[in-house]
Amino acid sequence: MEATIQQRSSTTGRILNSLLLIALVSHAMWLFGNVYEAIVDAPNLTASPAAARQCWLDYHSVTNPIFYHIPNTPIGFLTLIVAWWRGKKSLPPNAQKWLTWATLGSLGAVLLTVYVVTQINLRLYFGGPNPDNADVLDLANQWIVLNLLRIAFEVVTVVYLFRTYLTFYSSRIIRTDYV
Amino acid sequence: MSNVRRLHWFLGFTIFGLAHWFFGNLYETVVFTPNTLSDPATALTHWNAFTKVTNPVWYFIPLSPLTFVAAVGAYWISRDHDKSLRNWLLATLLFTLVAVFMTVYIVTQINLNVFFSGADLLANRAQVNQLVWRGMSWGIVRLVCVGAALYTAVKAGYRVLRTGSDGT
Repeated sequence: MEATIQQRSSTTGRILNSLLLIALVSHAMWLFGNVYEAIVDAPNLTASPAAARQCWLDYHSVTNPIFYHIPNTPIGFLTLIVAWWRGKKSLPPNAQKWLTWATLGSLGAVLLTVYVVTQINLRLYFGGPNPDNADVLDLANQWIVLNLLRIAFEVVTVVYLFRTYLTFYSSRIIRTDYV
Repeated sequence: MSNVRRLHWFLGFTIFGLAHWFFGNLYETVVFTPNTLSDPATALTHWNAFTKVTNPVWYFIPLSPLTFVAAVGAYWISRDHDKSLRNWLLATLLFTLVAVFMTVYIVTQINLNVFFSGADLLANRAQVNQLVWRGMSWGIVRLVCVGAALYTAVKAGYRVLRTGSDGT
């Protein structure tokens, strides 16, 4: 059996397709960046915390993780919000539900990020008086736990966004099967 | 499990693994490389003093080698499918293979000397400089290769979606 394949092509469909794809790639980038930090950065701050923190600061003299996450993360979040808004009219009902879960996951990750940056990162990585071993260890442990929660939110977002994209892409395919 | 479902799983794992690999390498290129290049021996001395508990190897092993295995599996399973799908999967496999070879070269010829040797890097500035610049060049080529592998794997995924579940 062979099939001729066409793609339903409308401006609305193409825009939503692009929005979903950008949001998916952006959130995957965010997720794997946070996973990288969870594995490679944070555990090293738990042994000789103050000395390790100083080594981290001395090493990152040119760039730091902000360069990786900005502007990607805000772009991904805003794109997802727009996709969710536009998808209310043109997505199948189950995909709408998944996209809502994805948006809520992303919102949770953004709120956690605001907290982590303002309450932990600014003290742990960016300036302020040098904290002692106990302070650094406490901040690092908080960061590790909250980052795991953030990763969980991002996994929810990426999984549901992926399902939404697959469903939307498949719904736009017109199959004409013949033997 | 049917042949098509096996292909879905292997291709899905390949795309996931390549995305993990690509964004890990991208993170290093953005967050680490400029710091290392500014003054390689000094920067790496700080870095080696920092990474006492974990290091980037923990991120890439075992997922990146498993990704290569998944790419081989996806290509093997697709042997009865259409030529276009096979071509995309072959491209994925070849780009992944090149990235694996580059990684073996980078790890054995550069990383073992500057990250894991325990040598005094500050006493060998010229040699460290040379190794770091060579490692950065190969690292960027590898990033492009992994990106190309990811792109071709996604194109194979689109092909699977567009040809439906029979895939013939």
